[in-house]
Amino acid sequence: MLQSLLDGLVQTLAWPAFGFLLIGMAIGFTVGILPGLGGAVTLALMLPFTFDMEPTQAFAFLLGMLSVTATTGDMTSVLFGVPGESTSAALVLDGYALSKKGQAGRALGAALFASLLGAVIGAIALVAAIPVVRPLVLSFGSPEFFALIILGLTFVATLGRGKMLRSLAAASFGLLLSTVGMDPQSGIPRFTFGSLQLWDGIGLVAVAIGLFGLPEVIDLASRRGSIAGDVTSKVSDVKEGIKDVIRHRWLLIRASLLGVFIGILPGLGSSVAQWVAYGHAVQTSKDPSRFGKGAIEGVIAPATVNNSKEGGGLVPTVAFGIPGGLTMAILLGAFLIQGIQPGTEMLTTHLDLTMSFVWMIVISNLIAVPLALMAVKPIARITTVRSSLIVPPVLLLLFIGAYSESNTMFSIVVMLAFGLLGMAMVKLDWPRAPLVLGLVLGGLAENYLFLSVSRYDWSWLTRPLVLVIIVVAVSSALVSPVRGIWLRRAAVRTVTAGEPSAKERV
Amino acid sequence: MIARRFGALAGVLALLALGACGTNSDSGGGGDAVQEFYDGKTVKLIVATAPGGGFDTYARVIAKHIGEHIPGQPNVIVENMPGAGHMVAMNYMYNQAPKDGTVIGNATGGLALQQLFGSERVQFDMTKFNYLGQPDPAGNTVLVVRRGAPVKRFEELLTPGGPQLVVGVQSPGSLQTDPAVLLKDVLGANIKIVAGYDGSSAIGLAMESGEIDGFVTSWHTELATTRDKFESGEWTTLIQTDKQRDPTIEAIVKDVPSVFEFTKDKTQEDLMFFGAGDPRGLTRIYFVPPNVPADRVTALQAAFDETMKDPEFLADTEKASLLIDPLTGAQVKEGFDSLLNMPADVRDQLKTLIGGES
Amino acid sequence: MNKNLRDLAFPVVLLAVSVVGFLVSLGWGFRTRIFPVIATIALAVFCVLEIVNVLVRKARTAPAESPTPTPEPVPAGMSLVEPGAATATAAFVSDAQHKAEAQAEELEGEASIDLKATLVFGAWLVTYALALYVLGFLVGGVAMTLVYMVAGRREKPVPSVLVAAGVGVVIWAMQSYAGLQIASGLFW
Repeated sequence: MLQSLLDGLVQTLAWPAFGFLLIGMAIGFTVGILPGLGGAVTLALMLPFTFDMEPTQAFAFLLGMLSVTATTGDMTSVLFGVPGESTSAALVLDGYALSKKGQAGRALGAALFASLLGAVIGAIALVAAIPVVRPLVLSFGSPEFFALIILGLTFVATLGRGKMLRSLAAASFGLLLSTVGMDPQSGIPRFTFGSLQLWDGIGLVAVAIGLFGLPEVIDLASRRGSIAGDVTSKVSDVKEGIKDVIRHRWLLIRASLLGVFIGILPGLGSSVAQWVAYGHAVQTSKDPSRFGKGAIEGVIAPATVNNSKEGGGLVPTVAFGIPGGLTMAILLGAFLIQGIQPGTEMLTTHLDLTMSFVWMIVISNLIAVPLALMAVKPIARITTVRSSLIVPPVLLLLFIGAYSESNTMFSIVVMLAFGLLGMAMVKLDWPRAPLVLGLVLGGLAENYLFLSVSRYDWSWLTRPLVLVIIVVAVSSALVSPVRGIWLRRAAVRTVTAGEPSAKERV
Repeated sequence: MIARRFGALAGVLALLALGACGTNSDSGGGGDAVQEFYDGKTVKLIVATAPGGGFDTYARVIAKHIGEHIPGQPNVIVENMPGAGHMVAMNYMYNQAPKDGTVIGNATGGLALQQLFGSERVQFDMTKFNYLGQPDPAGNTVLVVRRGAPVKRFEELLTPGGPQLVVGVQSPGSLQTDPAVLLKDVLGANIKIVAGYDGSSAIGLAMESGEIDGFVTSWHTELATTRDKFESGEWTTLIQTDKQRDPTIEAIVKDVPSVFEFTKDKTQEDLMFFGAGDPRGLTRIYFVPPNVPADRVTALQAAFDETMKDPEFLADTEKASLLIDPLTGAQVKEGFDSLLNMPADVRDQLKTLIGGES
Repeated sequence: MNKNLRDLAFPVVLLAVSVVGFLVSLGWGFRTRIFPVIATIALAVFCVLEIVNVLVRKARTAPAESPTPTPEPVPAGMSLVEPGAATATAAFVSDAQHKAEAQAEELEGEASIDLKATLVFGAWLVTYALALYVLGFLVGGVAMTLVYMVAGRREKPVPSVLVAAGVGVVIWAMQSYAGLQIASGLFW
């Protein structure tokens, strides 16, 4: 194993491969910043270029691109409140809030540094997990996935930051929205109102951009100032952000492991991880009320997870030829082009190649993140620019991002509609995250439920792993309200004692 | 070596940037009028899936080479138009696409069944498109089972009281679903169908974990991607839908019967043929709308045929592990004509079995 | 008062949606309708509970004359209100917190409904989308950028043109080099 680790490193640093890594990174950097031009689409478009390359070169190129888009996609979320990819939506909540307080530098610094550490820790966890990966993945069947989805849904309570009923209602609405489209069981279109475009469901990217991005832009446009508002134009320190990450190192580690876990299990989708991490950060925080207003943990957790899950996603792709997500599916195409058969040899005889993949992810982050960190200060100055200069280009990015989901104006209509909804929800103080979570998980839940029942009738409810996960889900669902009551009692005590309690972290 | 690699990348980028056409001035038939028409124009190849994935890859490789073989050497670009299982693209190609030969469509012919069963969302007529061809052969669909499955030979599934095979399928109406349903309902095989797996990777995982015993797929896809599993015996195949036993199967898995060795009468034969056989294999067709001027259609058809033989094209497809064994436009049209004109009673039965609710 | 009406509007609308969704689902087969039915019932239940919640809170806020704490919001997450769990202390906390929140909102100007400005911007957005559809992304995007900056007399001509040109260049580059597919308008 150690030998393969070293061989992998050597292969990665070898000249032509390394050069391709850098080119891939450059492309990934540019693409990640643009909303909607997701990692997956670009990966697909770049695939034909790899025909003439050799394996290590091709993968250096592709993985360099992939790991960097995951990192930079977070930047537009923080800077403009517009999700760079659907996987960066969670960062808008607290990251953009920090930008509005003039702390864009800090938020970016934290996001970038967390991404880097997430990638590294994820890589380590990955390498450690390789021996147990096969039995781990294989013990998850449709029933276990269903249980995991339920677990994910229980996070709804935490995502609502205390507005429990509204969270649950929003999540239910999200579940309802997830049923729009062709029913995978019988092929009957549901709630499509005769529109062919809705057959495939309501597009997640358009929803994310509309729900989270549009209200922010509208808000920005209606105040005449800049994103950072009336706060002094001194852009707060990147170093502060880095220190924040170190301060919250345990959260970072937990989030990384979470990301690896979610990445390893194919079939959970790539948008889930950010919300689970965010929910976990809320749940484990001493003062959940800060979230949504600029809690730095709300930046650290999703940023970490977005990177560590890429490493995790490599595992089933390489070990089974089963992609852990959309980007991995395309990577699989690269495997075929290179004539490499994913499977057990990738973990045994070709272990050095697998290790080189891990190194590629780590090294591309090691290079990209410090470079980005150095650029953060000037980049963050955008938040001090007059909004009238910012709004039109950002709007255009929104439109392009939404459009590229389906290459039709329909997605733009969806985006506008959800923008309207998002605005209403922000003004009326209804949490949006549970809605997205319901939308993302609803389809998966229905799918796995039917597969489980169809295959095992009802006996699957007694499978050991299923029971364990359900117990975890139930207890985690109870934690939040219990904590809420406990914290409320504590607050009441301090209020009646006549002093404001938990200090609002600026 | 390094320079060559970078050169290759830079070269392709330059190609893209300049919108340059190919270097060969191979004009492949068609008169001056055609050449004049295409000179300096851009031809769009509309692909009915999202970018990435085998379908899109085939299209991009074809788009890269076909321009050289069209008189006038137009620039060919790919545009993705996913949605509603290729229906969006099909409807577009039939109704809205310009009918001057500047737009080529690429979708699955599986939608012909939707037309046959009278689905209201179908706004096209498969018998009226002008077909350029299909790069890969009308596939042979097979039933793949894993090593631990309770069944070793297909006959076991037909014996009363015999073992049951759990087969995972995707959504109704797809080539990865219908053959299994037909094996069960037409031939009477003891198959338990678990439906709704979201894509081949979900099925792959279910196979690995043992949740399902088998699945239905196109043999050529497996040959390209999972050949070693068959060679090692981890997977095997129980039955195939070609009328004659396919020698490429025989080379790896011995003595795999054809479904037609089990059909008992003409109706069953027709059901299996139209429901799971060759006409279902028209899954990667290239075509232009009806009413495109005949000389341009001929030129495009010739261009397609020549591209399929172009050594540079073949080199690229080799690298991408894409099987090339083309069908001509005429063959594709024949396939659809026969499918859409099948006997009425077969059509009605087929609709009940695999029509779903269109 | 106004706030409470607003607070009611949303759950009422969602409730209506859930009812409609439920009724539509009934027309489908069992497997097809089970999930939508579960979702609509859950949505309806939570909406009703939230409506009750709002009304209960409204009833308690009206007569209350509690001293307002300092503008520093008391831990704002304490709006965790559950039906049937409303004790007097809870009401006091949530009530004081409401006042604090309202003040905080005004101070930060965040949630202030500038309805007119928002509507205008909404109309602008729809126009923008239409322009993209009719003129294509490249021309439409550049044109609308210019319009936005010049129209409100927000910017002087020179930076406006520069930004618009920049936008145009970026779109063109993305289309040519990144293979981005963008609409080319109805006329070309």
